[in-house]
Amino acid sequence: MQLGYNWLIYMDNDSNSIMAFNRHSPLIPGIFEVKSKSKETHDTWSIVLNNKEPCRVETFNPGQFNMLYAYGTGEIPISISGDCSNQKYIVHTIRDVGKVSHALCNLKSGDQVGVRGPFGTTWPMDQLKGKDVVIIGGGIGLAPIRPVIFHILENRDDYNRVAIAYGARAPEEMLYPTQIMDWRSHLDMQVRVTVDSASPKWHGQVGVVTTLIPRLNFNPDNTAALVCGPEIMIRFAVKELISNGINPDEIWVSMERNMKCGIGLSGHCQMGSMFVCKDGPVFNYMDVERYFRIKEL
Amino acid sequence: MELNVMQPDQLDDLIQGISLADYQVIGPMESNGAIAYEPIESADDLPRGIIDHQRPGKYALQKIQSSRFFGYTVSPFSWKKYLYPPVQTLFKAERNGQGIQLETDSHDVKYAFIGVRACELSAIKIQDKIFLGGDYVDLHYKERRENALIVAVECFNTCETCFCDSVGSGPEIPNGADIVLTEILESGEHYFLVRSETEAGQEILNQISLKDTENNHYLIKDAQLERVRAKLKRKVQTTGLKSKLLKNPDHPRWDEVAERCLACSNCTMVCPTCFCADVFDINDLDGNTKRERRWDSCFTSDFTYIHGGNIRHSVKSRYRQWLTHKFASWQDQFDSLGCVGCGRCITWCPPGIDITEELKALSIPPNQYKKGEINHV
Amino acid sequence: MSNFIAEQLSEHPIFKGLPFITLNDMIDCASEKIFSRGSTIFLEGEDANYFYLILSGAVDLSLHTHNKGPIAIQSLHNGDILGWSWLFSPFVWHFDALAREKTNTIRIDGKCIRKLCKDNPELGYELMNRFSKVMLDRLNATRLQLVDIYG
Repeated sequence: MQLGYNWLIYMDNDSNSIMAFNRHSPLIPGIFEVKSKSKETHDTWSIVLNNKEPCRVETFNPGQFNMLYAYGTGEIPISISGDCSNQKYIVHTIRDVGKVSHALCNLKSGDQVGVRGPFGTTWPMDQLKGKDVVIIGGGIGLAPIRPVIFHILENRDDYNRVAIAYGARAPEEMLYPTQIMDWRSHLDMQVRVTVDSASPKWHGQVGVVTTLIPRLNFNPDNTAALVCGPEIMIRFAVKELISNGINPDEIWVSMERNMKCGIGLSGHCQMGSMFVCKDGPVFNYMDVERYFRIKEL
Repeated sequence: MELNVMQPDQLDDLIQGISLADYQVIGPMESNGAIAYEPIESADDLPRGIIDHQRPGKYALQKIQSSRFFGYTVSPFSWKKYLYPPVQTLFKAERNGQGIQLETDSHDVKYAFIGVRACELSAIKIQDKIFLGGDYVDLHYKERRENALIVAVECFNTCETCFCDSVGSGPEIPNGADIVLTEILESGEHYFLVRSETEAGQEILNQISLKDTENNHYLIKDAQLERVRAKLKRKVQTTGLKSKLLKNPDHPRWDEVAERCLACSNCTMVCPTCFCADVFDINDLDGNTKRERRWDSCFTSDFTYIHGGNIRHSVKSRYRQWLTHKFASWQDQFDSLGCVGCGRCITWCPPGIDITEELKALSIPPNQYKKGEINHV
Repeated sequence: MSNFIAEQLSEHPIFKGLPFITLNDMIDCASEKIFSRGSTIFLEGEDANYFYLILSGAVDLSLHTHNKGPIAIQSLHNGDILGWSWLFSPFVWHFDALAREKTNTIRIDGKCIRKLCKDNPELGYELMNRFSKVMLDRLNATRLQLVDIYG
């Protein structure tokens, strides 16, 4: 395009590119292709992406997110929900709730999307070794924590007892039901699921996810807990975990804020002194505990 | 480096010299009743004999009998608009079939800023930390910043709204300038004391025939600076301020200031350190699209929007975020204050909210604070 | 058998260390009761004469709807108390209780406990306190269900 400027084409064909964004600027996406797509619930889809160019993506880890760009619509932060041991493909689970997420959910295989990332902190997989691990997820909050479950299944001997408690609004809103059944079949994992409002076909537990916590088997003196879901769920789940004897500094939470850049430059995601995009999204509970007590922070 | 004497008519030689070195020269000029930092062609464009009056919610220029070039204090605009433009295209994109092709431009203009004040240079250094000092570098800022030439000018005057000394950003020019000027107009003599601080600055000065200084020039320069310092009446007590702000998110003063605050975002738009931005995807009818980054403000209602609603819906929470960020959390994030005491946010606040006054009130423990205790004038 | 019941009662938070009553008095009011999977424990509108300490299994409190059949509103498990309508007039169940799995319980005769409480108001006050705590926890959990915390 001749616009009177010195327009440079920054498409990155360089196989030395190590991040999923254009090497000329972390604010400019790299281009990925939708390999496949699957429906999770009535409003939630998973998409599998691979890099258009045969270039390496930097290692991504459980808990991190990418900024996904839908052409002409915008960009939103979406957690990586796939298996991080497969560094070839990136899986994202997206709930269709806004303009950009709608566009992303409507992508077809072969469509291209922009990807910047991976950004943010990770679940503390190393610090969990040798401990009982309690995983609490709510709603779409199972997606950012699913890579942890994959990781544990692949490195089962590194961890002690593992308990997963997942709450959803209704049975039809549960993510990954088949996979949950599969995790359940592992004798060395406790998997408990609950819904707020049941349908007649539902033969499982009814009640909020916090009510599952006292029924999980763990040794509170040697347990780490990971919590992901809306902030209000995190607040009550943490309260219940602590009242069940888990040490507050053994609890990690994944926070959500408005994010525009993913690299701490646009200011939107501030929570006290933290930039949730780069100091988070995964925080040790004790680092953010004080912020939970301040309204409209 | 060495201090020299430059005659007033050599100021234009300096500007032309900078221009010949391929810089676009940006300097102060009178525009629409205010001082603006705009491209200038010669010293004639400078606001000679014009001073500014700034008070909470008030700004006015006055033409006086003076041949002083830099008699005003600070413009409503800051140099930020060149280094970190209010609207910036991050990339353009085209679609071909299912594919996307991105293009981005590089910025090939070198800026020279004439008349950067101490507080403004401090602000640039604060933004350097944000955009260049972290894990991720903003390359759009970097290419502008690295090529910029800074000609700082010491203040001769102050406004009622200035408080640079109490936040440690002035009135002496901090390091980081390429050339530093002090304009002296006293005892019927008018000249500049000039020094370079970088090679780039020295190369420019080498083209002008400067005179050596005499001993009393240093005294005159120091005396002028001390007069400026003595005029700075407005203060912020920064000691202990951080913990006072962080510990009292429910201080009654927040409610009081929220009653006056219009959440208009003027303070953040004139602030030389505020860096928040939003991005917009703009499509044309040919199906092409571009992404623009635009300045944003933590005072806007949807600044904190996540699915389900905004996190900060009250004006109180937004004002608290802004002021607490500037004076407390900024220290955790960037190891400095986020305020340089330029006073722009006081001048350009329609109801005239004065942050120094708010900070004084917020420093009183909540249980000892009486409503309206520190009143605005 | 009564040893087993005695052990369960004396260890359960609702009775543990309960003053003003002997274990024997309580045992007299209690019996073991097992419900097979899918069986009904009580139905809405029936007289509420008992309450249950759930020892194992799962019980759904549910509401029968005219067009969708039974809808579970809350699940209870081992350690939970099932039923408090026996405490309040008119002593009638407000919901159905169905065993989702085979469920072992200790069934306690509400009338019997009510009589003990009537004879000994201090016991009545203490027991009411403990039941109130159970009801408070249950109410708080229900409130969270109302908030849609997964939204």
